[in-house]
Order: sequence, then structure tokens, then C-alpha cells
Amino acid sequence: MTEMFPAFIFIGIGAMTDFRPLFATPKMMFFGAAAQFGIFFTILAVLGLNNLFPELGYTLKEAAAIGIIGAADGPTSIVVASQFAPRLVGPITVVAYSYMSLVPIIQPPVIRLLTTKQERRIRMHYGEANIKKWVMVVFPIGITVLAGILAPMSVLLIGLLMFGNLLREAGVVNRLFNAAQNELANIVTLLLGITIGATMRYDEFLTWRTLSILALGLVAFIFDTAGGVLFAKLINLFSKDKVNPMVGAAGISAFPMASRIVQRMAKAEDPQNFILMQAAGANVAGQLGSVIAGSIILGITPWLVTLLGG
Amino acid sequence: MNVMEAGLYLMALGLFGVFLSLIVFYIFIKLLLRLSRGRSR
Repeated sequence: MTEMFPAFIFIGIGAMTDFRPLFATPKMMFFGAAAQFGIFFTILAVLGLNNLFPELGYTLKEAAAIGIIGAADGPTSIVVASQFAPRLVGPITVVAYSYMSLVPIIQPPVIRLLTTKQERRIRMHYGEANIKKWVMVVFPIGITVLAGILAPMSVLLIGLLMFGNLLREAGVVNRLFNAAQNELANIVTLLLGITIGATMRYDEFLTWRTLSILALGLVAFIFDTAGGVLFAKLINLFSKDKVNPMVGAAGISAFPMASRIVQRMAKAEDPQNFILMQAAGANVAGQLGSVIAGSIILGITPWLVTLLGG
Repeated sequence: MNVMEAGLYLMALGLFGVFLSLIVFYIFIKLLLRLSRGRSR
């Protein structure tokens, strides 16, 4: 049941998500990939911490489950944690959702540290794309098929995310669309919170492991942001059309919080600078990227554990 | 192979997989946009 709740939430998220900003600036897709760096860096950090404090005793699967906090995506974190570290589902979920709501506090200092004032003032052209209805209907179907070929384990989450989006774009099932984005999402979030909360027994929750997960979750979000910003700066070295590096930070999945923060910071530097739509494009790409990252981890980790000898 | 090496493999394969998937999605979006412009002419 724990695995079905995230899937239902994804129908709601899909119904809420508008992928048009991504169609207007398709290259934002790359930031959705770069901002997943924190996931993999955190897995290494967990394993490094294990070497320093062997009493923590994290296995590779548990390290992967903690790293996925960097997906900045509650449902994905729950799916991976429930398969790899059922006893850590409670702490991982609490930490993932806590840091998602703390994005406005975590991201700005990291962005400021990695960018200059001039870079934060870069303006970007936004061409309002006139996207046809059939394109928006074919998109969720095509993405589900492609995700099934590239990362089969992602089909549960990507498929339902795209099903929710299809309800939105089809335009002929308004009652289902409204139910998915309001009632379904709200009820399932409530039930999920209660179910996860019930797994947090005091003797398993009040431990040093929970504290370490709290610290590692912060590492994941910081390096997600850094990955996105530094990738944008790398692209700027080769590209004629400069990208405002802050947009890279919006590549995390926390939608729409991350894109709003980027816009607020851009406006603080230059009141005439509007990069909200580009940031929203990177943000929705991050939603796809985080699910793909989660499913790749689900697919590869058991194979690596076998290579390690069980 | 020790556990740190396994972690590095996971990082390399994971980032490669995410970038590859999103590049394919990018090409798909570009293709849809091109098709939609072609049909409107």
C-alpha cells in the first residue's frame, strides 16, 4: 500500500503540472538532469560517513535510499526507501518533505556563493511557443513509452504522472482532472502522512541514524543546487545565448517553489529581469529527471550489491 | 570491488542514465515541435 500512495499522488502532480514552459525552452531539460547530482553525491557521502563511523552500519541499498532525498520529490523517495530500506521510510520521508519546504532557505545562499552579481543579472529570451493541442496530448503518451524503454522501473511513477497530465491536456474529462488535482492529491497526501507517521516507532526513530539522515538530506539539496548552477555555467562557456545560471538551480523537482525563488532572486538583482518561465521549464524537467534517477537507482543498486557479494 | 567503488559506479551510471534519458526526451520534444510546425504549413 505504501507504494500505491506515491503512485496516486503522482496522478495529482501530473494533473497540476503544465509542461508548456519546457516546450518554449526545451534546452531547460538538461538542468533537470544536472540538478540530480546531489542524489549521487549523497550516496557517496553516506558511504564515506560509514567509513568514519562504522557503527552507523549503512548498506549500499540504505545509502541509495538516503541519497534519493536529493530527488526533492516525496513520492520517489518513498518508493525507493520502501524497497531498499523499509525501516528508514519514516526518517527519509520526513527529511525529504522538510527540506522541500526549506528550499527558500537552502537554495539562495548556495546560488549566491556560486554566481557573480553579473551572472545573476543575465536576461534570457523567452519565446512564447504556440503549442498545438495534439502535441500536448501526444507528449505524455510518448514520454511514458520512452521512459518504459530507457528505464523500465520508472513506468509506475512516470506513467501515472503522465496519466494525470493526459487528464489535464485531453480537455474532455474535466471532472476527473479536477478530482485528480484536488480531492485525490489531498486525500492521498493525508493518508500517506498518517501511514508513514505510524511507522515511526520511537525506538527506531530517535536514533543517531535519523540525525545523520537529517544532515545528509541537507547535503543532497545543497549539491543538487550546486550541480544545476555549475552545469549552467559550463553551458555558458560554449553557448552564444547565455543562460542565467540561477535557472540551473530550478532543475530540482520541488515545483513550483524552486522556480519562484530563482525569479525572486533575479528580480532582486534586476527588477526588469523575468526568468520565471525558463525556471519553470527546468523545474518540470526536474520532475522527470528525479523519477528517472530513482528508477535507475532501483535498477542498478541490486546488481551492484550482487557484485559486492550479497 | 569495495563499497566505495560500488558507490562511484552507481554515481557514474546513474548520472549517465539520467542525462541519456533526458536527452532522448529533449529530442522527442524537438521532434513534436517540428512536426507541429510542419502540419501547420
